[in-house]
Amino acid sequence: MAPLSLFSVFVTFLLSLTPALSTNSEGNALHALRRRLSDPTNVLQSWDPTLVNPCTWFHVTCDSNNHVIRLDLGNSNVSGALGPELGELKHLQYLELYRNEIGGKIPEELGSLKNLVSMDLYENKFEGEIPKSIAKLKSLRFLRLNNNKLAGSIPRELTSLSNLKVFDVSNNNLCGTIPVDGPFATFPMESFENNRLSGPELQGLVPYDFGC
Amino acid sequence: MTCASQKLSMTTILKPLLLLLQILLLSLLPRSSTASPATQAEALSKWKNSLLPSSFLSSWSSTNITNLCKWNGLVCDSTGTVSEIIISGANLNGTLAQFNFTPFLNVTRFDLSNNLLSGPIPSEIGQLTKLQYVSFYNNFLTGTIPYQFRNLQKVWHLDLGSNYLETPDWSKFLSMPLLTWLSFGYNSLTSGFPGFILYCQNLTYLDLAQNQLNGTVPEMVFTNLDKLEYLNLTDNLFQGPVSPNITKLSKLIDLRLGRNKFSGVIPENIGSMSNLQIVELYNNSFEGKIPSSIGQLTELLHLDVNWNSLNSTIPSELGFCTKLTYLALASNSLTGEVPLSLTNLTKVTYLGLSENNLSGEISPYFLSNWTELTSLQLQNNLFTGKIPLEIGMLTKLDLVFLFNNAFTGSIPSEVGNLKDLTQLDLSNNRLSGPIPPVLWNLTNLQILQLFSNSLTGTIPPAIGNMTSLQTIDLSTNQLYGELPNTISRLINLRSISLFTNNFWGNIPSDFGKFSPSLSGVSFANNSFSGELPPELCSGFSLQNFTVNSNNFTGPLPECLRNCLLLQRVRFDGNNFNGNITNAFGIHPNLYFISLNDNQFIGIISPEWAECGSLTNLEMGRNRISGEIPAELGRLPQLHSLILDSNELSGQIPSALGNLSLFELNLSKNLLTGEIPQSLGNLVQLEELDLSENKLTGNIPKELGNCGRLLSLDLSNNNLLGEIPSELGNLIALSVLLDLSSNSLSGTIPSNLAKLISLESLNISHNQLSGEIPGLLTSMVSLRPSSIDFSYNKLTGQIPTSKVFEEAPAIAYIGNSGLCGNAAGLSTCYSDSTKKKHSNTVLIAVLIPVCGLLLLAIIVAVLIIFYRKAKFHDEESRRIGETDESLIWEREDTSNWTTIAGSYGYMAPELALSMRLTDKCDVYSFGVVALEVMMGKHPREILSSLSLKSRAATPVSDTAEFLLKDALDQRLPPPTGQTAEEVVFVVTIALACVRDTPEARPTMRFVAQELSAQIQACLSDQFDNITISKLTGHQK
Repeated sequence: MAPLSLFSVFVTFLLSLTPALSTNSEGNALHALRRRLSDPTNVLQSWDPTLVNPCTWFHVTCDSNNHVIRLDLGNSNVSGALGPELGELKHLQYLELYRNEIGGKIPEELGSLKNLVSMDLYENKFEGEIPKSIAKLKSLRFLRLNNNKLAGSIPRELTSLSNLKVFDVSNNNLCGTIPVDGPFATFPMESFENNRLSGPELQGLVPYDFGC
Repeated sequence: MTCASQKLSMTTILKPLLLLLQILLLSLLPRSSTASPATQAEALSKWKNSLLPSSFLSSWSSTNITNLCKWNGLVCDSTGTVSEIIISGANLNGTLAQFNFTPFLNVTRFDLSNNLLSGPIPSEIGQLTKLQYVSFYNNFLTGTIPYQFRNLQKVWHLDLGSNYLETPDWSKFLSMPLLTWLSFGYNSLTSGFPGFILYCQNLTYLDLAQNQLNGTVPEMVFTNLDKLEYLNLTDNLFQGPVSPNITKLSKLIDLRLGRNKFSGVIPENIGSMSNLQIVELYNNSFEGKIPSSIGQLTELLHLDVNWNSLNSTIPSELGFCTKLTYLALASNSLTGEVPLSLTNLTKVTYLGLSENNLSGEISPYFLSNWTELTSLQLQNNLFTGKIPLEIGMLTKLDLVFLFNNAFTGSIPSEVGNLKDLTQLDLSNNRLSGPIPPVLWNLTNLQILQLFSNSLTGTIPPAIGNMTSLQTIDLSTNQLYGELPNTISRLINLRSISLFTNNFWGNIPSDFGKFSPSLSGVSFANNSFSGELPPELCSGFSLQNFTVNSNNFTGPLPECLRNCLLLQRVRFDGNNFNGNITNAFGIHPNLYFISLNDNQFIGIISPEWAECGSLTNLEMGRNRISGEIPAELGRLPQLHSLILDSNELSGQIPSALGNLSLFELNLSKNLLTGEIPQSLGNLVQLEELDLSENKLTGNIPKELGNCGRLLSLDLSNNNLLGEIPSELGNLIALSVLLDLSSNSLSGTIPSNLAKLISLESLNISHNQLSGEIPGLLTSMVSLRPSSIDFSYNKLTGQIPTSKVFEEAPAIAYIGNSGLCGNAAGLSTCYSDSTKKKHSNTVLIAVLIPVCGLLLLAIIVAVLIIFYRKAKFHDEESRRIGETDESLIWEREDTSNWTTIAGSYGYMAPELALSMRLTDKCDVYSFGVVALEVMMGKHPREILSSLSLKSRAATPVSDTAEFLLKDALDQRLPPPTGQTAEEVVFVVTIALACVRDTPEARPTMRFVAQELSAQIQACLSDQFDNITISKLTGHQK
């Protein structure tokens, strides 16, 4: 038995001896996401961080340069929270995380996903405010954040998203007034219902975060 | 004070005394009667016989009683009786059950350590009250520690370590005042710290390591046991902070608290324990600083605080601990630079600073002073600068890990001096330049990892000298050239990764032949060409084999078929052209195989169904023929089946519906037959592409069950029948719905309107008829550039939304009946089309117009009410008296500066009285209906009708307008049924604009009439019908 106790000391020694694994930054970012998420149905089973890149992982799509452009984890029974690493996916166009149990804040860093076309985070448990940084996503066409627990006001910066075609923040806990500029002139009222929003803003009359 | 309480205190004093007396009596009693050499020999023989035979005990024989004192392992006293039993490391195998303790009451030393004894320690051990030294260390003893140990009051050394002993009721134990050495280490003790130990005040050595003891460490350990020199609590579940009182253990030399749940800070004044030589605090939750007082521990040899949450800088005072040989600070959150004072640690052999946030450069002075180092671990930090040349002075180094930092510059050629090096990992830095040639002379190197740098140059033939090499990873650099033939000589090679470089040329033809352990090979993303070496897998050890994205040609090595351990295999993106029919065998661990983008021929073997771990089976874009084996339906884990762009024929096996596929691509083959309904069972499917085959029959409505589909492409087949409306249930569909170039007929199901995430829709080149459902305007994600309805038989107005109206002309071309406000389409009912009006079209227009109008009117009226409220009674009376014509004039001149209503459509009584009734709506509708028919505002007719009703006599010159003149002159005159319909609509419209509200029909009546399409029976020729004749229509 004495050799056994020596063995356990040896194991501790080995722990510090893990050589580096090879992967790229986008793979690292996604693997960091995997570590944050609880995945009872093994949707992320194929996400092997030792592979050259994440392009053969399921629910991840790359372009011809092996950059991740889609993340399709809608309806995947995952829970947990998102982290700042997602901001590393510089080429991401579609962030589809809808209908899960993901909570916590929407990371500010999503604002660095310059190529994002669609951000579907609806039907989750996101809380906190809608980050202003989303206004940096100039290619964004679809922004669906409905059915979460988001609070605060709708950032006025979002009115600069001239490509935005679909915007839905219904069924949250948002307050203040509804923007009317830019693409917001066209969104139907259903996109805003079931919040604490106090109606379309009357510019110059009421501050946009009225009632927050 | 009562008598009772006095009595109570009496008993508490008496109780231990009585116990002591009892012990004394017990020890006196049997001594005279039993302790003789004969009885001792008899007892020992009996015990020996209960054990498995041991050569150590060969001298133990009942026939040899006279020589008892010479029996192996026994020591006698002057009376000739046994006083010490020392049987250590004798392979004794059995129990203590048959050991008769009674004859050995004078024994002072009882050592059975390092044997194979099992079972419990008998409670009779408590009879041996003369015992001073007891060791059962390292046996297989079980059960609880008997409390009778409390009788052994003379014991100074008690070692029960390395057994399976369990927790007794410690409260039955007594202090053992002479005890200086105690070990219960490596047993199965649970619950809290054993209380009796706190009273063993002479303890110098205490080992409770490797149990499951929990709770906090009692303060008395520090205040009472002040003679402790060795304290080992490693690997328990102790928690809470470590008391600052620990410094009261001023004699402590060796403190081991690793692998517990201790938290809080490391006691600030730890430096006052000046005798400390070994401090182990690893694997706890200590936070905060490494106390600077640690510099006072000048005797310190070994400091291990790995795996905590320390977040300070490294105190420069640590440099005073000049005797340190082992320094482990890894896996904390330490920041800042490594203090220069650490150059004083000239004796350090192990240095672990990895997994922190340390930054700055590694000074050459460190390396020139740390010449005793055998292990240098700086990985996973933020270190910058060059690797100092002085690293070549550390000739005792066995291991160098600098990976995951930001080191720059080139690898110093002085690394070549490190002859003893077995592991070198510099990967994931910013190193550039060539790999120094001397590095290839490190013949003891087993692991060489340099991946993810910017290294250039070639691999020289000298690599063949590195016969110890097991792992070499040079991937993701800018290395180039051909591989030297000598690379085949690496007989211990297990893993070689060269992916993502610029290597070219052939792989040496005997590569693998001499490397039987080869399990990982990656040549991917280079420009290698030629054939794969036939003996590459001759050791049959291959697990991961990736050569994708090169220019390899020829067949696959035959040995692959017998590599049963294969897990991941990528041949995609080459020019392989062998026959794959029998290239693979049964590989139970194979989960990923891609042969995509080659020129493989042959058929898909049914044997693939035996590779039960497969998740990806990808053979797209080859020249594979034959049928898709139905056996594939047995692969329980298969998620991706890619067989597109081959020459596959036959039907799609319905067994594929049994799989749990995420992606199914069978496009661009020669597949025939119908799409199996079973594909509707693929509820996890995200992408389905069956395009460009020869599929026939209907689109199975079951596909509507694939609720996770993102992309569905059935284009370019011979599919018939209608588009199943169930496809509208695929609400996740976002990338593509392509049903184009089939023979689909019927109408476009309006259920498709539910596809609100769909961005691209193509149903062109079919036989679809009817209208594009107006509801499709809800498909808000469509792009104008990615909708295609062309070459069908579609008619009617396109949906009125930006997407449909901004679509290019090619989106609608080839449909003769479409109209609307889009490029290439005629405006519905416009002059240029010269198409016959149909009543249904008119009604289809008029009914929504009704609604819109109503809305406009309500807005107008609300504004009027609002304004009216601001007028005084007097003013409103004046308006009431005003002639109607004056109101019309007011459009320009009145003080109603911004009138929001549309007077031209407003009922006269509304304009007069501001009184809103539903008959006002009817009037407005009538005006619009007339305007539609006439192509202009019916102002003249309205005024003539109004005048007529007020004048007593008919005004023939206006009311006698012919209908045909009143109609839109840009259109051809209606004939036949159309004429009847036109007459009917005008009749209704005229009824709606009657002057007296009561004479107008209700809106409900109008709607009923229009939708029922009751035809007006033409009594006259159409050309002769006058307006006045049509005004007779009664409510």
